[in-house]
Amino acid sequence: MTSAKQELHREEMVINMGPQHPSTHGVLRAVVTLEGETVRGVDPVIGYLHRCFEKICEQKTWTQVIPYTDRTDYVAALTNELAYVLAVEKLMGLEVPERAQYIRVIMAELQRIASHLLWFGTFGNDLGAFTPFLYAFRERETLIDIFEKTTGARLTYNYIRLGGVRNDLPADFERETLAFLEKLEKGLEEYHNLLIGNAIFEYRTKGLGVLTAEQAVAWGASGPTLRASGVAWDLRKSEPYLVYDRFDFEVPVGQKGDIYDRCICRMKEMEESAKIVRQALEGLPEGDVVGKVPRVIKPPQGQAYAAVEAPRGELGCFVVSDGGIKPYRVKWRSPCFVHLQLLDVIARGELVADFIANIGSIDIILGEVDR
Amino acid sequence: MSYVRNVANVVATLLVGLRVTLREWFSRSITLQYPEQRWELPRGYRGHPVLLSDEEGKTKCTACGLCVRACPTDVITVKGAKGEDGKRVATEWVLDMSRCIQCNLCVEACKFDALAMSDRYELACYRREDLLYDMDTLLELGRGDGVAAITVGDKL
Repeated sequence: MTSAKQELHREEMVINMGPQHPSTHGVLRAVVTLEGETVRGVDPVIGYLHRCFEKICEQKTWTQVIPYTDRTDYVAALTNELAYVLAVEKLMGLEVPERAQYIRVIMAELQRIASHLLWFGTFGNDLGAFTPFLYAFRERETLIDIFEKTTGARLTYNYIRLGGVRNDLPADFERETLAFLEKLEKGLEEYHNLLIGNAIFEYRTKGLGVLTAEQAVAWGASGPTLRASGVAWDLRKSEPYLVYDRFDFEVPVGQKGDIYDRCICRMKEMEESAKIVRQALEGLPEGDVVGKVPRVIKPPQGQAYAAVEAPRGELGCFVVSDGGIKPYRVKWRSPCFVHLQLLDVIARGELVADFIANIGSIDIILGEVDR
Repeated sequence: MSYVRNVANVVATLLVGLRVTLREWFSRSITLQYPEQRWELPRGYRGHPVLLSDEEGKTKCTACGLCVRACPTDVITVKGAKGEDGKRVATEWVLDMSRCIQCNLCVEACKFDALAMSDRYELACYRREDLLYDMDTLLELGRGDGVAAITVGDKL
């Protein structure tokens, strides 16, 4: 009997997952090597959403690039604009009025909440729990309405401009936002009851997809993916931009670096973002929302790099100017691109059924990976 | 007695189980019966650019071409000529809605208050040519409600 078992035919099998798998958050094809049900290797194939973003930027004027940045990470458009605008402002040495900086902080943090809510919904969906998706989108819808009132669009805002923001906040912005934050608090409690505290959820996430702190740093992870591994690195704290140094907030850190920790990190981040928004609304100064900006944007020759803490991690933008009306080069450092490579690290040796949970836990947006 | 208690228990547990359902049943419905019912769009909602007209119903556009240069996707075509009073006016203003990304940059570029964003969102049509909006269409749409020109630094 034992000899027959030894003679069993063993072979690795290579299967294609995607590019149109319902749970790949975009158009991702993963070539997965399997041995039975165990994953022996993952090779993500990207490029399905490539739109020549960086090359297009070289043919647009400095202002015209802003609406294009919206379309890289389309669930957190405001943070993309922020990264690009901060880089160009650094290059030009533009002064941004304090009120505009506060508005930027508020919008960026609300955008983080919106992005994490979408992640929460789709992650529950990945694990087979459909109800949290509806709950998360209920809250997100309120937030999108607030964005729509402020910026005029629901997804591609084109709101943050060189030297400030496009327009001032609408009259009832503060009331609506505070009402939303209260609603979110109740919602988060509900999410914890619904999904996070669920035994099946814990069973499917705890101890799986472990990313050690050394690995995370070595692979260049950032954002909640890095912090869940126990590294307290948050650009808002370690390299404060805008007026983040004036607010009191915690940086949630995980311990084990497994899927569960990544989830908890994101859930706590929403609470912290809510805290920042409350403080920023309280201290919101009066004044202009746009500083002095030259009529024709022509940054001096040179280069600048600005990084912001996007919902998914460090989002960097590197711009090079030759002194003309168009960027000479725009380089996008997207956190999703880095995190996608982690798939092989975290999913290797685990069951193929947990592969989906692993994809969901690093929260990738393929529009930003391919851009 | 125990029978009655049993029945009461059944009713009570049923109510507990259906708590959420019952609460939602009696709360206000948020479903909109589109297209009979419409939602209210906020002021400054960005549909697509339309042309504004002056008191006489003529276009304010002088065909200066600032919007053409501001457009990231090159969807605007403008041609102008000298009018009767010697001022330049636009004779042709075409918007290619198939490529417009509704970014508002043309409205911000306009120096003559000739452009605004409409709140139209039902843009589907049967033929690709129908997406080319000419000047008369855009002027007509610009006279409707819900048109707003929000530029940089404005208050909403």
